[in-house]
Amino acid sequence: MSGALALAAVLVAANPCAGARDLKAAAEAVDKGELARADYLTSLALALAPDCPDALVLQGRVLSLKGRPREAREALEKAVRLAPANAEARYQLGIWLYRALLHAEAVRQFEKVVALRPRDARAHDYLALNLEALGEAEGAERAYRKALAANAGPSPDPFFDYYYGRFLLKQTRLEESRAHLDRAVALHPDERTVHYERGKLNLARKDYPAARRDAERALSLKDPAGPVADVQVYYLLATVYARLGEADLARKYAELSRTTPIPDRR
Amino acid sequence: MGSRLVLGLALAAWAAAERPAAIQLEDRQRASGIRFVLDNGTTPDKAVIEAVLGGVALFDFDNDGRLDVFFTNGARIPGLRKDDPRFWNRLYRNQGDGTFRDVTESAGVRGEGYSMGAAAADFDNDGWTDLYVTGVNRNILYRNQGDGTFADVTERAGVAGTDATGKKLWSVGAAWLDYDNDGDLDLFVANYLDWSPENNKVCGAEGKRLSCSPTDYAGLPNLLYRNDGGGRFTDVSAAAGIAAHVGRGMSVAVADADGDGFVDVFVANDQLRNFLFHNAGGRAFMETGVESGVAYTEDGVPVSGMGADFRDVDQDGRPDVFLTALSGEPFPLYRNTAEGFFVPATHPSGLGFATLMMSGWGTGAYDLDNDGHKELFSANSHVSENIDAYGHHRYRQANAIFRGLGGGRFRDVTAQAGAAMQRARAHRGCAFGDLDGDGRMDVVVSVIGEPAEVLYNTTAGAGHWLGLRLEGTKSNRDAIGATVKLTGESGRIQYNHVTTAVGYASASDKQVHFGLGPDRSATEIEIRWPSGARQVLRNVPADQVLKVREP
Repeated sequence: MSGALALAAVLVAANPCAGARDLKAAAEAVDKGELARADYLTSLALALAPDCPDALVLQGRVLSLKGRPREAREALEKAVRLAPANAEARYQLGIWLYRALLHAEAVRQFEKVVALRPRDARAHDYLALNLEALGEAEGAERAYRKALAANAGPSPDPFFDYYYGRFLLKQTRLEESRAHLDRAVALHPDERTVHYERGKLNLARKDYPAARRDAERALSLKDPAGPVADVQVYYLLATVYARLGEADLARKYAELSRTTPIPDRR
Repeated sequence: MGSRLVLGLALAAWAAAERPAAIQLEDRQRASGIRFVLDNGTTPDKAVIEAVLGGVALFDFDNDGRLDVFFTNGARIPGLRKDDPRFWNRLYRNQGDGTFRDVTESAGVRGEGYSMGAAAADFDNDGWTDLYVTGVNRNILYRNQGDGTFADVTERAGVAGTDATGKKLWSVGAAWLDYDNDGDLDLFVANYLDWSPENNKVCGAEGKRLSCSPTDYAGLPNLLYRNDGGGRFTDVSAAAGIAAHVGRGMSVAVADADGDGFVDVFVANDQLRNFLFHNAGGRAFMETGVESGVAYTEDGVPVSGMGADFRDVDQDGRPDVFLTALSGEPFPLYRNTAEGFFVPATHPSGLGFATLMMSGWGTGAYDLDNDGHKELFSANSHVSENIDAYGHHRYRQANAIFRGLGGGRFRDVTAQAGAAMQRARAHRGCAFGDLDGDGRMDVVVSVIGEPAEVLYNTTAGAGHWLGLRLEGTKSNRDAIGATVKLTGESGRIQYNHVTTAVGYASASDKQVHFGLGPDRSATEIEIRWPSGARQVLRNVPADQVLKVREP
């Protein structure tokens, strides 16, 4: 081996991303959803530095966006294997696992992320969501609180309040839930999800006029690909109108909730 | 004032004496002589029928005062024939000494086809409990001939489980009920999917196939057979407003939801809104699941509804609905309110997070420690045998007990309930009854590929109890649909009703069971018979099975 090659080998061993170029530009392209450009730049980086964890993370994200989940997972797992202390690699793998409903595995990733990045509000929030999905209410509560604490700042993510408010509603802690869902609605007034959830809360609180306002607002905010389907809003409306004694409207939405197909989200 | 003080002191004593006995269930299958193994005829392709069988029935077929056990079983796939004794349904006679004898052949109940569920009741009011067996390609009505044998009277009775064109529908759950209060029992049959070996779909990767989603198949309407007497039934599904509702019915449970004296019908559907068929005066049914609030979860989505019990779990005199579901979906509990509708109580009851990772089949609300609060039992396992290969969930799961805390709240006490309750297995149906007559409710659970579990209740320090065996005269002889309000000597009031349709495709003992805690007697027992008759018994000592005949 020549001296130059030996030196290159040492440099790559010390920094496997040393040969990778344009990683920053690739990351920006992924964030912007510029799939073709992101794909090109990531492939280029990996051609030069096939074991670069940051490039593998970007590749995993690109593959996810391209609808190739198995390959995406392989890329993300390889990144974690090569760089166990790379918080971003674990964070992206955790998101992949969360979306695949592999909550126990996702928790393991996010626990490591928050150990590496204790101020990462989103990581705390994902940890909470996954713990909640596993039925681990106490752990979820702790993680939600940390997410909210880390989320304080000039431009907080409104969905942290939404998730925590929804969690509190399940816990039947209605007034606490209300505080967070009110805040979520204030921060994101055009989001069907937050109005729907607050409508459910107000139904549980037996504040039927408020539940009606929220449910009707949710109905007006169409969100075909969103987490709350039309049939869910119809069922809420049917229930709220029935409580209010609005028989015709209750009948109308009961019928719609019977006849509207439920989206297949498998 | 004085009587109120006495009542207050009695209730205080009740509360003070109410030390929770640790519920213990002990599996005595080996000593029992019950060797039944639920055989689903598993195939590499994991046909959808393989996952959903396993009904159990507890009933006294020979009137010796002891509960016998009946298990349904599968068949070879794709032939759907019981061409080997390992596929036979089995009847075990309780010999009264803790052992059971297999009397399947002498009783003539080994069955035909790929069986699913069982419903037991005395449809002809002759004093002998009959048996209806549901299945994929064959439903069978067995008339108990009173001599230890049963006769297949399906064709003559007209309850073969076919639609108007004669096509056999895949039936899972069934319930006996007297919907028109005419004094004989009618039959409701819950049908599941339009499946056949010819339209079988294959899901999941080769070598680790999964049971396909129920949404991959068309659903089916349910059936209602009216008992015309003389051993004959008429299919009134269309006329009564049942057939118009196509579902994916897995289980059916019955109770009078609104106290109008007519039994209503709840059907748990798989990945489809549940049905509540409101009985309109014994003439027809209105499907009111949405209006009543039991169709969807509080999130407005359906669950994989499996087993169900329709019973008052919060002691307010109104029957609530509890059902089991698949991992990732909490087991829904709907509380029946005074306002005439149900409200979701899954999370407020404490069941939400506790059941989230469970997949449940058989279930029932019974007071296992006789403290006056009903527990919820669930027989657990995931649907798909190969699900472990996908990392999400576990196929074999332990059963669960949720202890009733009062006020409609529950706590998971499975970990303290003994070794038998920690075993992860492929549990399916279960049935409840007091096998040894000790006043504690026992449970029998079917298990795919392993011996059934014969779970004797050995709870130490359980409270006093009272069993009621009602016999109708004007009402149907089994008194199915009768409601009972019991006031203990402490003043505590409890409610229950007579039904055998409990859980998943299974039939439990018709005896009405009350745990009385420290109460040594019931000061008043009020029975409302399906005929409309009201009967009141006073100062009934505890710790006995009381036989009550309709006046």
